[in-house]
Amino acid sequence: MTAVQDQPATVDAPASVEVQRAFPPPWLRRVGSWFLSLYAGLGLLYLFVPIAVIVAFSFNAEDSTYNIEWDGFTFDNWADPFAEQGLVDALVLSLKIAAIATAAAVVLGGLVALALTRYRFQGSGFVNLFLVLPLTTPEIVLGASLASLFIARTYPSPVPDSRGFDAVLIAHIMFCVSFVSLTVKARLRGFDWTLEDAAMDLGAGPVRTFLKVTFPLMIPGILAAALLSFALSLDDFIITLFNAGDQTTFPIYIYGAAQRAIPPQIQVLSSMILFASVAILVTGTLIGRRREAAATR
Amino acid sequence: MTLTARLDVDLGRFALRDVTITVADGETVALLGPNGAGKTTALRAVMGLVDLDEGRVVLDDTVLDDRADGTWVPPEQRRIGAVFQHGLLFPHLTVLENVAFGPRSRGVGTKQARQAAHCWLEELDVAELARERPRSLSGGQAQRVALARALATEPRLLVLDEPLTALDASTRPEVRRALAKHLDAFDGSALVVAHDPIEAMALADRIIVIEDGGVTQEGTPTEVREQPKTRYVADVAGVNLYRGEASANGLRLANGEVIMSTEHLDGPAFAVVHPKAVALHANQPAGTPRNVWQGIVCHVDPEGDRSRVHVDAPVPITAEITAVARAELALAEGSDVWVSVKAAEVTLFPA
Repeated sequence: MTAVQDQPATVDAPASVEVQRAFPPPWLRRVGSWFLSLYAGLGLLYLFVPIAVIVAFSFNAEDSTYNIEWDGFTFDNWADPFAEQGLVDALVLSLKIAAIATAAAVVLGGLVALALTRYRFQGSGFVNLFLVLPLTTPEIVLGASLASLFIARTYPSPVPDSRGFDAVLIAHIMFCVSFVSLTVKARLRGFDWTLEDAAMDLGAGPVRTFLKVTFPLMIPGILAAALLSFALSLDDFIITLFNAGDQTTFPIYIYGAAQRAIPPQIQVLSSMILFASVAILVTGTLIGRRREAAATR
Repeated sequence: MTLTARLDVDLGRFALRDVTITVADGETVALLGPNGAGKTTALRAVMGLVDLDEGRVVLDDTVLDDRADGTWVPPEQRRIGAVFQHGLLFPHLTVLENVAFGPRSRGVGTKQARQAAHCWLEELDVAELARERPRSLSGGQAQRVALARALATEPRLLVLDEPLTALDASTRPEVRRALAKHLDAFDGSALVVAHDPIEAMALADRIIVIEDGGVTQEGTPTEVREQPKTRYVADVAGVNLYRGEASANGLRLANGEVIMSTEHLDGPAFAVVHPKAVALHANQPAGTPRNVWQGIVCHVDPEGDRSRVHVDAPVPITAEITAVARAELALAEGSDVWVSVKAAEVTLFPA
């Protein structure tokens, strides 16, 4: 009798790739995905209903002081959006402040972001901390403190108060610098600084390197920061109210008007701002997509 | 156009110590070494992008950097053209604008710079990409454009930082050939950083091996391949390397084992054994081989129709055998095996 030869162990068949998971069963998964859609839909509804109401009431043929009851559809308000002179003046003032504050904040904040991401220096941690402070401090505290600062500034001169256009501008630049530098900083995180080495190696000095390479590559981040800063300045109420003095910005006007009456022009101008920002967003996205498509062609 | 550089750089966590690099006129030198050895730092120090702690960089007759007397020429005035690892093309400029960037930065007019750029793109067979953005280029195309961009500045020294590493395996040989061709045609000197030995051997006239911040070996590709002086170089060349004390008996290793050789040397020396010269046996071999050891198979790397077998013997050794031989010996990890090497197959050279 021959000895039984050792059989090589049979190779295990590879484990079945398609594993049927016992949980959750298909019906539960269907219910789950249906519930998720419903939940998401409700969330979006919650976000958009107030905006829809504003747009809808800009078409309201109101016949009472308060534009809060639906009295029928009309284009009259849109045909005459600038009927309320005070409202228009307030809007122009707000746009002016937002434009100047944004311009100043972009330059200052952009440079801060550049310095903080590009270099390590003594005290950069403190700069980082101070940038976040205006965002975390309650607005009411900031507003009140700034107001006392601006009042104290002129004490004991005969003019008791230096609040007004300049004060509001300074206050807005302050918090916009924070937002701009944080936004630009986030965008610069993935920046390939060796591109600057390449530029220098090709013979570009520091100034040319910044103007031709670094700055053009920062532009998308700067634009995003500028849009954010403009919107924040345009809409700021609390800090502005404390420091506006005799100036009436758009939010302050609306707040005041709402005490007495709500003219539909408020909704009209608000809708205009809304549509303008949506238009900017859509254009930005479209340009981005076209670039993407051109690049992956 | 010759480069002489002696570099000492201390970056805290990492330092280059007394790395001397010379590149003769028209020569291509490769800096070869494992990742993190300091090749790129050395290159950046030559370019002026990393500050020297000690040392001197001279290109032709111009002193670019001298810590002794404080001379320092900023990178943008060094006339060194660089090809970076990932091409590093400017993403917001077209290919043509990228190549024209160098001439423009050196004060050439827009029109002339664009013409020059076009010539260089044609030279590198990528003229049809002139209007593309870097993001739409393949890795190989990007490296050709990067080379065109570096050459367009008419550099006195061309430096290439792992120019092929970022490419996928299928385009690498083609780009390597193109690079080799243009490096030959380039009449200035060139310095290439590589961690792939094939890259270094294919492109360079001379190889400088950098390990752990210092130069460990220098020579022609053939010398480096045939007479490796460190474990790294031996691994790279795919040979067995031993260091010991040579005498009439052969090479005595630190652990007391002796490797016999038909060559005779005295004093500290290296022994090199090619894996193909290592024979494996199931039983103790009879006959002539002078070096016989018993060992255990650590692991087996199949490479095509051959296998590299790493054997843990008194003298650890790698053998390269055919698939047939491997099947015959039924080798697997942990198998007992006998190793033999003919004395005539052991090359000795002084350390």
